[in-house]
Amino acid sequence: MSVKFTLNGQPRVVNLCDSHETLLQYLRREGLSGSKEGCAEGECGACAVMLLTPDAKGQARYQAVNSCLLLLGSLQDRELLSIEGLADGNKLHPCQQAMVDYGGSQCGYCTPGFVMSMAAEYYRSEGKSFDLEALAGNLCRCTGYRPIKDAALSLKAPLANDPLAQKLKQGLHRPFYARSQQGDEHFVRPVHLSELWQALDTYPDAKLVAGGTDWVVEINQRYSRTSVQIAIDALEELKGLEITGDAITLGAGLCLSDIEHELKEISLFNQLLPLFASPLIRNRATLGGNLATASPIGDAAPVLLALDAELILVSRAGERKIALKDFFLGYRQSALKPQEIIHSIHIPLPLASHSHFYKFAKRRADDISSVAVALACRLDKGHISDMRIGLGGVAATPVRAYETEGFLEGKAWQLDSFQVARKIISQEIKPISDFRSSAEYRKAMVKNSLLAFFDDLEVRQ
Amino acid sequence: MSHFKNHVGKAIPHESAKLHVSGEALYTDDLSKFFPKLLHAFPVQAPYSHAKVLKIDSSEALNVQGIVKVLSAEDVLGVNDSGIHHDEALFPSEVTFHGQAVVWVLAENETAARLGAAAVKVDYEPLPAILSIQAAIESQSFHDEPMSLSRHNLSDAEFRARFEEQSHRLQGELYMGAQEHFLFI
Repeated sequence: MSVKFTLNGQPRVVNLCDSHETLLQYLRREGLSGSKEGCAEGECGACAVMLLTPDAKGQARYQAVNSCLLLLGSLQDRELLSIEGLADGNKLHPCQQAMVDYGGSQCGYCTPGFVMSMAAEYYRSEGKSFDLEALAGNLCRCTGYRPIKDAALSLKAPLANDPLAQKLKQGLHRPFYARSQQGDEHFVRPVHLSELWQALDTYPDAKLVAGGTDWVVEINQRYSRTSVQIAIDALEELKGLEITGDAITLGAGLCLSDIEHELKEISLFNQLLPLFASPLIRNRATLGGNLATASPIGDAAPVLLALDAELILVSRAGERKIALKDFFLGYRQSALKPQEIIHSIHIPLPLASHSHFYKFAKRRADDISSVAVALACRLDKGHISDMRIGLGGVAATPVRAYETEGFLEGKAWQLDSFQVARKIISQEIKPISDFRSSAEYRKAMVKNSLLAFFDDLEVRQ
Repeated sequence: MSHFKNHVGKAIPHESAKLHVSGEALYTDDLSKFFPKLLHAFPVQAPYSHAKVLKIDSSEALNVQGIVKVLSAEDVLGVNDSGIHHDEALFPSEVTFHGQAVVWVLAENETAARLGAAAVKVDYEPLPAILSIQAAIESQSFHDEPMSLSRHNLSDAEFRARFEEQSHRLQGELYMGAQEHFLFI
């Protein structure tokens, strides 16, 4: 069986010999060597390409993504551009020309990836205000970034006859159910839940792949292989985003950058998402994936715990609700039953009046947390109520600090309360030492977060 | 000097800039597209810092699709050396660092070579290893003769005596952890 997609305006039909093959591997074996493999784990951005996808409102837009983390099988019916497809014939694309004019390359290895991230933001911002954050998933070791920033900030709006801008107006190809098989390997890409249930009837033990930003790293770095993969990134039912009077409901399959964009005024999300990996990852990664992997340090979990989120789980049998605090059962184990997926995340409104998220990692951005702390509460006549503390990186699962929360409940909003709370949380959590951090460091950061919470919000008041 | 006139004060683009921004610049790994029958090599790496290689079983690796050959010491006709002479062995019988390549797998593509390498079974006999400065001092295992710093051409004894005379002395030990650095390699 084969996979069909559009690359640089040309239809491609690929006979899938290896269901674990990534787009980057395919591009390079086809001789399109402009996309580079720097890290094969979505950290460096040297392999960035642009994928034509619908935004939260269904409009066509370019999204820069890491091609090293895109499985070829999930590209059925999609349209994408690699660096080779950016120039208009012999005329460099405005982003390419700006990088030449401002000296944005030195060794040049990371340059195609930068250009692709820049081009996606060029079409999004339309010359209004280029968001430099769009380049945060691309690493450069030579230039020191300044000439790259200069190039980005020099960009004007795309011209009316810009072929790629015109392409966006033509809209999108709708993806359809796709299935491919080679020997014992199967790859299924449903677009509706009914198709997913059918696929799961045939392959009950299939590996479910959402954004792929975790699983494809396993494939690339640990050579993990499995016989059946089901891509759930095109499931329309998982893309809902609704804000009503009493709740925010986020589809488990929305990419994080869409949530970031839609909830940029919403406290905690606007602190969490800019720190979550990099924009190239956020353009693919989903909340559902982040929670279902049940990693002890998935950054979304502490925030959603502090916001008292509930999950809607769905299977062929129907829906059920579970509080997120009851979802994590053990190290990388969740309450999901076989053939059950996360449908959406439900956050009750009104949100806590006082909240803050702290992430501690070795790098400020594009890194995995050593510790993540989310705190949320309300103030009732100067007294704390509904205190919730979500922690990542201090136990085998993301956890709530119930004992400390209980202590703070009803206490006066003053420094003393948080100083005592520091002592309590120090007894309550038992982090481990590993290559990211020592147990002592983790404990110290959690304790200090309580004081920071008081200080930061005191200033804001 | 006259030839500077055309350059001074002007921004001269990088001579390869157009190749960089278009993805046309070629790097080592990009050249493989010109060699369609190029084989890819991947090492089988030792999980010990110090060990004897007892047995290498390549039978399962040879079943991986795309594998052409598992190279080992038996394939070396001349000197089993990774450098010119007296360098470490290309296919060692004794491993002396963690991750050392023991054998190499050749395959039609990189993925097959990686998967093939993962399927090679190697039996090791782990041997003692000194893994920290502290352990090295305790076992008196030094890379070189002990070094000391001195001034005024004093003998070691004289230096120590002077040292004892000083009213302020500072002593201690400093350990620096490993520094993680993200590099393209």
